[in-house]
Amino acid sequence: MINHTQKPIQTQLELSVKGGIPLEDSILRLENITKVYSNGVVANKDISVDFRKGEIHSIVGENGAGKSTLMKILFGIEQPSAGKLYYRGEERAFHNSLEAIDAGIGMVHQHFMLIPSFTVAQSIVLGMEPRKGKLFLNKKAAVEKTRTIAEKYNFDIDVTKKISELSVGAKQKVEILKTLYRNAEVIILDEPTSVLTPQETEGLFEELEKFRKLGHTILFISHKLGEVKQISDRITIMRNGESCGTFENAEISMEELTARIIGRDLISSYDEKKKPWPEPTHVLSVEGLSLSHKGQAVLSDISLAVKRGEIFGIAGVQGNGQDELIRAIAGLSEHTAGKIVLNGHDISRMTIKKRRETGLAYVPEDRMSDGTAGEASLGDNIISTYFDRPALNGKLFMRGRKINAEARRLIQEYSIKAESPAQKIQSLSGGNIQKVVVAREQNTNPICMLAEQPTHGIDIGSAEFIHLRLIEMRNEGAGLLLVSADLDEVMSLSDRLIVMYDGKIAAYFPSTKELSRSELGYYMLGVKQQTPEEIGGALHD
Amino acid sequence: MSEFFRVIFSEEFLSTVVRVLVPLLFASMSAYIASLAGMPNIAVEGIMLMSALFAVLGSYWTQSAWLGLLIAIGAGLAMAVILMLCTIKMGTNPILVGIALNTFSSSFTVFLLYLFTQNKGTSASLPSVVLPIVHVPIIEKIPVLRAIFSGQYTITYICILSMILLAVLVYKTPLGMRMKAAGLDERAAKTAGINVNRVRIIAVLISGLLAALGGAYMTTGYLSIFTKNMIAGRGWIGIAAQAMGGTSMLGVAITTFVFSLFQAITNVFSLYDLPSELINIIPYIGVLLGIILFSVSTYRRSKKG
Amino acid sequence: MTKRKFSLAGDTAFETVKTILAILIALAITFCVLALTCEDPVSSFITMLTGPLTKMRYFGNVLESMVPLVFSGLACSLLFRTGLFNLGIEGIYYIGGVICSYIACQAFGNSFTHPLVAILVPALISGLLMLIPGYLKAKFNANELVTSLMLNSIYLGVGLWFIKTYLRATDYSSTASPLFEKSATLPYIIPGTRVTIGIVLAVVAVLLIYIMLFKTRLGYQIRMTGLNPKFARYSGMNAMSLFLLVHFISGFLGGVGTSVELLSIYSRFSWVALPGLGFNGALMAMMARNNPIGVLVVAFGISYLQIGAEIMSRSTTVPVEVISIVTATLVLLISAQYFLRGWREKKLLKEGLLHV
Repeated sequence: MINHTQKPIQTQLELSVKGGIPLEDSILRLENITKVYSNGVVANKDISVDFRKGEIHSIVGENGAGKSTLMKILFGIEQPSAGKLYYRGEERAFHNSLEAIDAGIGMVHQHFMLIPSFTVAQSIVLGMEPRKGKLFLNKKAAVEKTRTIAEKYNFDIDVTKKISELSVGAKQKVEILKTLYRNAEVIILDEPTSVLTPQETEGLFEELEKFRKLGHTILFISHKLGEVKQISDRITIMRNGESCGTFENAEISMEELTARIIGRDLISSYDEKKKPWPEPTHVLSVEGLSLSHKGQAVLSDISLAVKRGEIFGIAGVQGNGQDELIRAIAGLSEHTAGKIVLNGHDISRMTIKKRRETGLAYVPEDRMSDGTAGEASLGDNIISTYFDRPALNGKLFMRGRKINAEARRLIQEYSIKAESPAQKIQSLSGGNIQKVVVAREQNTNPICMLAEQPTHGIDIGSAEFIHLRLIEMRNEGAGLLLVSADLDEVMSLSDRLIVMYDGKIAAYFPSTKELSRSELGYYMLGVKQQTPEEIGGALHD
Repeated sequence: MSEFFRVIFSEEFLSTVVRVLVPLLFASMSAYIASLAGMPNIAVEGIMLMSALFAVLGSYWTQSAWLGLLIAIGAGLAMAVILMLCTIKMGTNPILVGIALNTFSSSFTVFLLYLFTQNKGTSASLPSVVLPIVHVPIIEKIPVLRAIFSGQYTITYICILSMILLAVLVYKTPLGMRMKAAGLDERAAKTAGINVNRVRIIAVLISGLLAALGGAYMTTGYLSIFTKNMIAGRGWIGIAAQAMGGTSMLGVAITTFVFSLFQAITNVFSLYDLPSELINIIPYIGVLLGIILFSVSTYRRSKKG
Repeated sequence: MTKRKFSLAGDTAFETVKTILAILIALAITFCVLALTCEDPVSSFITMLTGPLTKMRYFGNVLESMVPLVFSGLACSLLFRTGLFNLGIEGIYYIGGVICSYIACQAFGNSFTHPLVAILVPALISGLLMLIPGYLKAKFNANELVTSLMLNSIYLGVGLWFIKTYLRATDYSSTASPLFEKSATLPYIIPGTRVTIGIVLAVVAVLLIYIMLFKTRLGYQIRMTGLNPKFARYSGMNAMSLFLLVHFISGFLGGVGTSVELLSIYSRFSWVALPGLGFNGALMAMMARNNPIGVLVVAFGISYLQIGAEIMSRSTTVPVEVISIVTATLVLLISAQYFLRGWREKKLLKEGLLHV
């Protein structure tokens, strides 16, 4: 039972102002940090947090909560629109990463910045090389220094080995050593365990413990509450660009954490717009789909079925396998095991074109990299997936006038703000580009539509328009598979849904009617996991 | 046949190989340092040609071979600067700029040649000055060694010095390591705090310098005049050698040596009625096969992962 | 639909402004060089610019010399559309030329079939040869720049050896093939000039490629694949076969180009080095932004300037090679992405056309 009466513990800042904990203990302090991007998006709003010496401080929140922006500000990659930053009591402003590094802040990125042919020692000292005289590299010193640091922190790593020879966990150690070599006092780790095996994760936690004992401050960004609970001293929760408070780990329960992360906002419902479909046959069924990459399991035994006239949602924090699942269904990547059946046909080994011809459409996550060709015109983009249909073009020639007419019709129908079909698509706003993509995919009249983060990064007006379109498709008998990290979206649109965590299905819900956000949150954040029988409903219901 | 072997294993042949090696080595190292930092220099051939001409013109104007050399180096650096400006400031693809510079150089050198000699084929009418052949005491008495290190043109010795300096730069200085990082992974280099543009600019300038020396060698020693299109593909051979050697300077050097060996042999072959055209392409076939093997094996390895 | 505002900073208008400015700068630089090197720069400059229009024969020269540039430019522009640098047209021009010469030197057919075969056979073989670097890149990700450059030299070596061994003219001082059979050579079409049917073939090729690229399904796919291969794949297009097809067509065009050139201008094959037409084609493609009609226009423009410079060089002390300055400046300015970029962005922001 969630204790709704418990008030949040005051932030450290309030406490310290009231004379609680001494300010000197805090090494990095943010005061009313706000960041507004030039396109109007408010990424951080009035955030005040402080970080102490010798603590492991986790920052948790869903996608879009503002965690990465905050870290970018700390590391000098972005500048705040308002607010102050204090490092060791002094007011500072970091205009680039070098300044942040000089001050003592180090960052271990989610995607490693390592050169395969360099040795560990070289990678660590690159940019700050020990010298003989002014001109020459002191290779011996490089090896010695890096070895010393590695030993000091008990990293069992051979500094003379090449990066290409290391395991993922070891590579991460090198990234951490890079920050230590530059005397980082504050080390920011951005979703560090997303690439590690369970054993490597345990190893990482042991090391973080050591850092803490040695007086370092660790900023641990993660959405995996189990881990956060395991290692943190304090936890700061972010939601919608704001801070929801900082809490002592010992004084907040998992349930309370989840509730605060997910929030209790009422979501609008599209229920009135939904119409039932009489024969709910399967349009898409996925059985036992698994995918491994370089030995690591990315997807494990995914089974689900989408019926006609429904929207089947996949909720979850981005990066838990949803994208890989959709790409495998679409044919953009090959799965290692399992079967995919579309409208009665086994499409597991079909080409992308054949899958589309069998009735599949796909709105991809990244509209600029996959969904459109930026330099091509709107017209060219809007027909790309069905340009060979006889209604549109001949066997050899493209019928320019027909394409133009079709494009204009779709521009009209979808209220796309564009000057003409000849306009280069990249000059449209994000929302309008996405409308082009959705218009195209809907126009192929698919029996099954995959939609990945369909309203990510676009204005509310376009987002709602697209939502209505998706429901329209649903009402007309198509089956949709919707992936979204936006809980509001996935809950209001879906009829049934699953939650994915760590490449597996963590939960299945046959109805979204009485579902609460925090319930979903438990599964999204790895706190809870349903039994295989419960999950089986995803395929067998 | 035995005559052939007698010629190959003679000191004169060794000396010839060295003479042939120098411009090729300058060319391949020019390509090497630029490509190392991630800014490929396709204009090696053009820079060599331009510098060859300016070495002649320069020594004619100043009547000093050394000043002429400096002017030649200036010309090479100027071409490198154009390459750099167009790529970094104007955002043009370096390959395109390289092609444009090569075509420009091949025409423009004739233009200048005509301007100063009223002759479009050769600079023979210009009393240009060459750099001396150097005989090194002591070494000139040691067999074999003397073929390599004594009795060679001045720039050959500059070549030896340049190679040593270049190796030190690439393998023993932070700048060299940063160039390598900039070329292998620009993003990783940037996050390590390296000014990638600055590092590439330095690399391109050194590249221009090396190519200029290679070109100057052709007209201040190997030959004493400039003739139209005299570089005759040496720049391209240098690029081929770099393609084989990749980021290993030793690899590039060895490949260049093998190429010069073949070129020297072709000179010998031409006395024997064997098809020099086919022999000449052996280095290119070698590089092609090398690239194919490399790509196929990389492909196979990535499939396993 | 929103009303379109005309702006000098809009896409096509901007390109035109950029091009005109580049031409003006190039001509200005050339004028400066002329001013430094000859006695009467003004009249030399005027001769250079108007020379080709003074006599039919001169204008004919312009048309002649643009033919190989058009074919080479078309071939390179197709290759460059894939976003890669394949400079193999140079080698194709050589080996294709050798094959064409071989056929042209045999007594065969009549004045229609002989040139037809002498053009088509090298074209087909060239198309196949161009598949080599294409396949190596598509399948194994082998660097196309390097493979194509190596093949250039290999083709030169093999071709030259072939000429020396099997196709050498015994009655000729330097290395060359025997005279082409009369039936193989292409007919003149404009009296008073040496312009052959080659120019017609060049224009036809441009139109065909233009139609192919912009009016056919195949061309649509080729363009999309070139602009964003991931998008093409996502949309269901077969990126691999499209990629290879582009290479074949490109090689084919190169083969046609070299054959037409040889059978129009030359009476025997006498190239002992790479003719440079392939690299010039790359320059054409760059300046024309890989657009077929653009290639035609650029090839005409460059040829015009080239002939103009030749005419001028005959009456002054300035050598024809002064044209290299114009060409180099043009190429570098026109293909520069950032040339005038700052100006453009400011204008777009002012006019509210730039979406941040």
